[in-house]
Amino acid sequence: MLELDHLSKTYGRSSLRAVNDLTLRVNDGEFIALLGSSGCGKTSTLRMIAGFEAVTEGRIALSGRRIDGLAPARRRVAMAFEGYALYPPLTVEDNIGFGLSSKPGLDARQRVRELADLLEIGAILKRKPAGLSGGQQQRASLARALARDAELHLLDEPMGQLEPQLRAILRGRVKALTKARGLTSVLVTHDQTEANAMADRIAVMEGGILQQYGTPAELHEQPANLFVATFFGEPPMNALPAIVDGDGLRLEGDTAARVSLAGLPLPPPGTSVVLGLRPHAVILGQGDWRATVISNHWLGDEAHVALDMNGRLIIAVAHNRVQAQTGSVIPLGFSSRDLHLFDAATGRALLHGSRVASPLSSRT
Amino acid sequence: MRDAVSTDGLLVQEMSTGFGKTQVLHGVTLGVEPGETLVLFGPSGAGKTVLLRAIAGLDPNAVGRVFIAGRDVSMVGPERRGIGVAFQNFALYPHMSAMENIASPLHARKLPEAEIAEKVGRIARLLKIDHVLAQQPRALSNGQKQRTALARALVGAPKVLLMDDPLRNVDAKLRYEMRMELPRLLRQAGAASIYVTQDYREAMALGDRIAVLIEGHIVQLDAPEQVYAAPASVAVARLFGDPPLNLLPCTPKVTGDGLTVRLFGLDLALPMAAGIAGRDALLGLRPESIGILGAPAPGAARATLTAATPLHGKVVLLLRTPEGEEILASQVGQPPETGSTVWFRPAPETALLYDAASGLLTLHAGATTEEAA
Repeated sequence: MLELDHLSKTYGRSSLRAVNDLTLRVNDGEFIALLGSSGCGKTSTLRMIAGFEAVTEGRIALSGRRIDGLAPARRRVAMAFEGYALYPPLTVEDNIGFGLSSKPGLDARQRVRELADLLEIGAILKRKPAGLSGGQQQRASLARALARDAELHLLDEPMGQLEPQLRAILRGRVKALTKARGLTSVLVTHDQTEANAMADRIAVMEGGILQQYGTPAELHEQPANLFVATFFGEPPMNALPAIVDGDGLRLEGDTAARVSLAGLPLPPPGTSVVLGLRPHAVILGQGDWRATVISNHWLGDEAHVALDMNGRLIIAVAHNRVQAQTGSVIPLGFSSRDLHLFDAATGRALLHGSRVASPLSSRT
Repeated sequence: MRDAVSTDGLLVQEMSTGFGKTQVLHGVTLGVEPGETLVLFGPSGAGKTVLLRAIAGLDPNAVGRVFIAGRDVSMVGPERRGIGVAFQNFALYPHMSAMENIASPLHARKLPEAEIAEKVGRIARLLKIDHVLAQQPRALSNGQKQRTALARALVGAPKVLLMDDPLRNVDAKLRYEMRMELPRLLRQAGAASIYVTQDYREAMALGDRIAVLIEGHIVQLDAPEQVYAAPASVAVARLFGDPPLNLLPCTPKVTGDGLTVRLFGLDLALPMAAGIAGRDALLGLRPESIGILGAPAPGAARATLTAATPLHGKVVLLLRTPEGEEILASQVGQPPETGSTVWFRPAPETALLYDAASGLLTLHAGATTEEAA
């Protein structure tokens, strides 16, 4: 198990915390992702776990052993890094197998061969890194990390340079491999598709602070705050400022667009809230609202429809073609079980469907 | 493919260029109508940016002709071609306010100040940056910078508008908003627009037509839905779709008046196509066309579910057959348990058949069926 306890990082004399009081557990055999945009603190966290950065405050333990004071090589952590270069004089095969041959009871050649096949680099095993494409180097680096029997595998944007088709297949294969061998893994990525596809749990970071730690389904269905709600999910959640009005909501600046939500545990009347609706939850063709179709695109396997409702943009996604012409006014609505409600002042989630949101913003 | 364009728009003829001995563009020809958006789609290194620069007149090595509204501008300097450009890295003047940045093409034309202020105000309101016009670029968010660059490109009402992946560096929320609003904006602007992207969904959402550029050649120029339904080559197929098309090696045989392909222990019947029987081929199956069943059924093959990975409201399933073939399927709703046995039904009705040697599409079963119907 990897344990991060109240971990913080500041650089130089700056009081700005790149990582701010981060507490997180990764169970044995679990695959988690640190997800966020650049500057969110995910890379600083990774570098502290790997031992490339000193910890400012807090502690890091791996399998019950405190590691934050240890040299990187003594942490029993395997890494695939963007800038963590392969050894130039060694072939790809020797890079992947580096340090494996001394292990008793392990057929090192066999393992290298299996990983090379898994990552589709069997044909370049005899070559040196210098002549390889970025994508090939990236896969060799990933194979080297996965070959090792480490207590933790750190994967930093491990597939960023691969073409989409290969990436889609390798995500599934690598996930299956880590499960089969029971590897404990931390993926660092800015790409929510990658995190979503591979991780058992995702830690969403922003401004150095852990926003939420949960399964992809939890982040999707019960986002802890407005940041997570609009960051996670593509297209992003529609966020509509509103005011609690009796047993329903009135959209801000729009007396016509009122929705009745009788039976839901709403906050007191007059409270400023944000109504969150996933694009997949917007129902087109029926409902109490009216909006003008701005665009309607069939993207091969789903339709993306943009609507203008009194100056507000609403995005809807449907899995079938939508018969609605640009410029036409159509009804739309949603089922109350699909709504999310956030406190407009704090951003904190209040309701998910009819369920009151848990007051805990994160789970470790 | 449309060869002729009206003389009102943009016409690029036989455009070639390169660096040293490396040729990057190989005689690219394309036309864009006024008010039309042509998306230039392709992998990195295909020559997309190089082509935009050549059209803009920024590439001294470029050989080929550019016509704008019927006028040959090949020998005209970049600033006098009447082209608006918005490149990926924004390229705003750092010492000028957003207002001055947007106004710069109008100042260059020495328009009266009142007219400049009016035009800048209008385009800024349209792009929702009217509240940040006094700011310098460093005080703007990425999204605001990107819209400032776009406003500058649009403000002079250019006849041709070139946009190089302008949404690449903005967050998902703004990217989607702009993706939805840009088509309306571009139609209003009335320019012949070329929009570069590597994102196939963006290409489909923004393009009236899509030109696929690979290694300096336009390999397909079609309506978005047509590129998705029938990618012209294996290279296009690999780039267009998420999860992408399955491409399965096979050898079609003639059976009766059609073709048969044997895969996964199934005989898949396809319409006849000339010249592919007995040759090495690749059968293309869209992941969403593969049906997943909980029990054996006619036309279905057995597989193990290796991994189920969520993807924006869908689930991508990686299946492995007993023979070790891997197939990607996608579905909406709860997936079966990982490691469990499932049955999958490939849909030959919409399958694509590629010649393995040339990589070119030889059969689009869906199109044949539609024509017959």
